[in-house]
Amino acid sequence: MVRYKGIRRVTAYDNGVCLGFSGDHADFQSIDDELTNMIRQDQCVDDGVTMGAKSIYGFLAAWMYQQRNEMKPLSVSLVVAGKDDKGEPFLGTVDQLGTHYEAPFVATGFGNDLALPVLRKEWTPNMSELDAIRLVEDCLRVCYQRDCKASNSIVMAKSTVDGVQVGVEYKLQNINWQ
Amino acid sequence: MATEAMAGVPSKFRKTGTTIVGVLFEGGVALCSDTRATAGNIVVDKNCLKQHYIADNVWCLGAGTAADTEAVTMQISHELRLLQFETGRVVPVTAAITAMKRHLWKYQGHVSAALICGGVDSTGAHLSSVWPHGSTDSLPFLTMGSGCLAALSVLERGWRRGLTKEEGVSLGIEAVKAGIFNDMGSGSNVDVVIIDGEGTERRRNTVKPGTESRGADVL
Repeated sequence: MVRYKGIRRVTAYDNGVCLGFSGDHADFQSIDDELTNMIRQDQCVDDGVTMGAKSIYGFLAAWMYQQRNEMKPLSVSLVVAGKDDKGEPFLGTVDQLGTHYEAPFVATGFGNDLALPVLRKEWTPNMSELDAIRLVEDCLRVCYQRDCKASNSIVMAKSTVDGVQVGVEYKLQNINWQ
Repeated sequence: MATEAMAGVPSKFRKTGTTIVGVLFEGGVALCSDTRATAGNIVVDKNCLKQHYIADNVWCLGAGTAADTEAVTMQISHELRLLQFETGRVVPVTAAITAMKRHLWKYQGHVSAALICGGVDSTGAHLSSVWPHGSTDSLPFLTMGSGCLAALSVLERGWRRGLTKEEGVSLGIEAVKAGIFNDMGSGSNVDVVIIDGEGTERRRNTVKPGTESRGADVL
């Protein structure tokens, strides 16, 4: 976000789930607060079962759809990543209408027009982590070059078998302004 | 359209939906396009021609309303033929582009033609896009039409200075294919016109992505 620098659009929770958003920051803060409380409650119950990415995704889909039905939409596009109940990698997206689906790769905003064609061509099921990071960076670079409102500072959050972490913010290199 | 007439809804005018791409390479220009023409959500021509002859050394691709792109390019082509007789010279590419922008500006954007015009003349290879209101951009790679962003992402990643002819052409083809697969308004085949110092080469339906097998890819 160029107007207010340093705003993070990805966050991670203790239960191994990453959440990314595009859209209204206030609505995202509200969702973040709600999820943080929900996950904390879940930990307090301490029954040996914790919500995973798929459960969070299902909850968000239901919540967003309800808000839309009440004509009070949460104006964000969300990306949920982590592990599903069986421990397999999970990636899903939910939008302000409540439209939700799982996919091997997703994009929001300008990414739908600029990044999805690249991802559809380059993604393979057995990509290494490094290749995936390079591919995502490439997409972000194209988006930065062609979206007036984008900035070249990016942050990545990743969820692996070892857990979840949000990386440091860094600047994209090799921007082509010609 | 029979179905729409029965429903009492007037059919939308025929547009070329479209992904059109121009790529400058060393010594020439490659102009590539898809071949789908749409009227609303219906494909009316599965293999239409979006390349328009302007002069032997200048060709134009058109996106927007099909009638407008045909009419404008034909008119400019005739104007330039007259210019050629008057001056006795090969038409410079900038003459074509200036004629297009003057025409479109006069009609204040009501002539809905978005064009990519390229060619080679005594000053070298040229590539420009002309927008419906009459502005132009002159760049090493350009895309227009509903599939322009999908094609642009391919060109942003793949273009560099000093491309050879075959590299430029295959980059242009990959860009149009991104439009064909990712944009609803574009589809069918890829047409290419290559203009360089040696002349003009046309490759109609050079690639037919529908007939390639792409495994798990979704069309």
